[in-house]
Amino acid sequence: MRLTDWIVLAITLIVIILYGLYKSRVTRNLDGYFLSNRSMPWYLVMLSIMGTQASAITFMSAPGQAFSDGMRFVQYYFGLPLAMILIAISFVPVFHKLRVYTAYEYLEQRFDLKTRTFTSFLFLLQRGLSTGISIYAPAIILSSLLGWNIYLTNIIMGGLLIIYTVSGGSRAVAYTQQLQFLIIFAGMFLAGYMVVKLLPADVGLADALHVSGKLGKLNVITTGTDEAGNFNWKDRYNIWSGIIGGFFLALSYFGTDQSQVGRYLTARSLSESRIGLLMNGLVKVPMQFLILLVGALVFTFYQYHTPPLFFDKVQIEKAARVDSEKLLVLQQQHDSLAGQKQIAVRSFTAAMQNNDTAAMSMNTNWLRQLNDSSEQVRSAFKTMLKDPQGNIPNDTNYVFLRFVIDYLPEGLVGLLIAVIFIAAWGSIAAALNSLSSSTIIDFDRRFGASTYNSLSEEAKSEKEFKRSRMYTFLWGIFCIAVAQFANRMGSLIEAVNVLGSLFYGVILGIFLVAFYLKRVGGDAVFTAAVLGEILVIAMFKWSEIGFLWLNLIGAAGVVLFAVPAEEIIRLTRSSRRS
Amino acid sequence: MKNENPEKAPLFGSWNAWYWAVLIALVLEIIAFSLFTKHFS
Repeated sequence: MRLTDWIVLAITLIVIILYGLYKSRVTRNLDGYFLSNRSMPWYLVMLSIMGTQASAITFMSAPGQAFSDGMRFVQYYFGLPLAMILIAISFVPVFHKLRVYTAYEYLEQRFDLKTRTFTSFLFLLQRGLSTGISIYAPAIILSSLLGWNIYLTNIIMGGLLIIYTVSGGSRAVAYTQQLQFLIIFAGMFLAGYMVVKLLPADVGLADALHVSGKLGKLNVITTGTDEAGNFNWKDRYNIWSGIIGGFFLALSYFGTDQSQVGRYLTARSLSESRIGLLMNGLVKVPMQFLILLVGALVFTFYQYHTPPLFFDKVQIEKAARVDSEKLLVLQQQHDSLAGQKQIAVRSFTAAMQNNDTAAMSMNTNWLRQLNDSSEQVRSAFKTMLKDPQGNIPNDTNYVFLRFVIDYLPEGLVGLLIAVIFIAAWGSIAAALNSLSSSTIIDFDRRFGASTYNSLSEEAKSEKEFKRSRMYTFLWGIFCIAVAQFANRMGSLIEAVNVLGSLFYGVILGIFLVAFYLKRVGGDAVFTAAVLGEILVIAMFKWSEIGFLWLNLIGAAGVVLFAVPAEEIIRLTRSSRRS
Repeated sequence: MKNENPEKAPLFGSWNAWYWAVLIALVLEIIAFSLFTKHFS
């Protein structure tokens, strides 16, 4: 990075921290710290919901995903608007009516203490680990691309935001997310504009889209069926897994994960919460579409320019140490194919501009063959780095930032690196706030009530406020420690992803039973949750089903087991009485 | 889609109208994306 980039990066990050501190100055009690005194307008609620969901990886990985697999990833979000509707109808009115701090408080009122504590514990475990990974994942990419020290990058990625999160709580989180979103969208818009501008002078946006589309990258809607018309259950992203699996995933994430529930509980009224959620349902899909479109355009850009053999330079250096001669051969094949692609794509563009359909068709086939050959060369490169467990490296997350660093002008590189930092900060800050709220409300206050009993209301409020800040700080330290540990334990990333998909469905099932099956009590739902969890783990272990479906299986399992479990418990109790 | 809360919905006047608006927007997006996929494939 050049000096201008460093200046832009430093100024952006300092402005965010100072703005967060400025907005923190009025927060002095628990209600203010966790719920912003329930004073937020709908647009701040919406931005906070979106800022919490969109982590750094969203902006680094989504363009790379479109580059390698096309835009079909957008279907993953089709279930989200439906989930927003159901949450606005069923979940939000209950949370507002009971004036809870955490979603899990409701479970004690509806069922019993063990169900609340169990669910809250699962949340803390899962969110604590996954927040550590949200620090580590962008930090390792930045450190690899820019040669930064990974430990220091982890500390800056996860540490600086602690300054305003500890001091200002949810209010600082929401206001900084508002500013962060403006910067993120300015950065992404400029990046998209620059991709098109850097194309050859005679190639416009429409031409670029045609190239990308002909090479299969604008596959926004896919049905998940093969040529014979059979549905492929292993296919991760298609319209059905997106609508059904994505619906259950979004329902469990937005309806039961405190990092999201804590955002819409800050609204000044039930209406403002609902509109914040519904507007998120309206905006999210087009937003993801545009981010993915940038990736599809970067793919077109690399038809006219030579891409790196592999976008993660560290792996290239590693391959050179493994077998430098083979690497040289692969690099020459890759460069030769890139040269032929540039001839083919220019012929295709000329044919398209002359409306010569026969030449267009011929050049499309040629381009497809060349891209297939390029992929085979890349596969041969990846095979060189296969580890003893059979894992091969993946450069999807590196594609977009590699392009930014190699081709964007001075200053804009700094801005886009800042975008990665502040996108990470937005989601990490909300996670720390929610981890602290669950710790103090569901554990400290619930099990340590005796320590507060002798205090006056004012002293109690002051003590709770101080402890909340302390828990936010301690969770911040914990998450950075997880990030530092993750550096040595590569499999931890996989473990945390598995953990999330294994538990989200069951947690959602518990809440669905609470809302819709009024006859079912605490013992039955607890039994159903245990059985549902066994079912999910069995499906995960012994079937190859796509992970999105596990959310549906977990939720449906709890609901289906809860009804007979309740009947058996009632029969057993009545037979004991008689 | 049942509206269980009496709090008035801004802009559209009722919450049901809001829910239908989100649903219709999703359907229109899927149709537009299908046309987009088909046009550029």
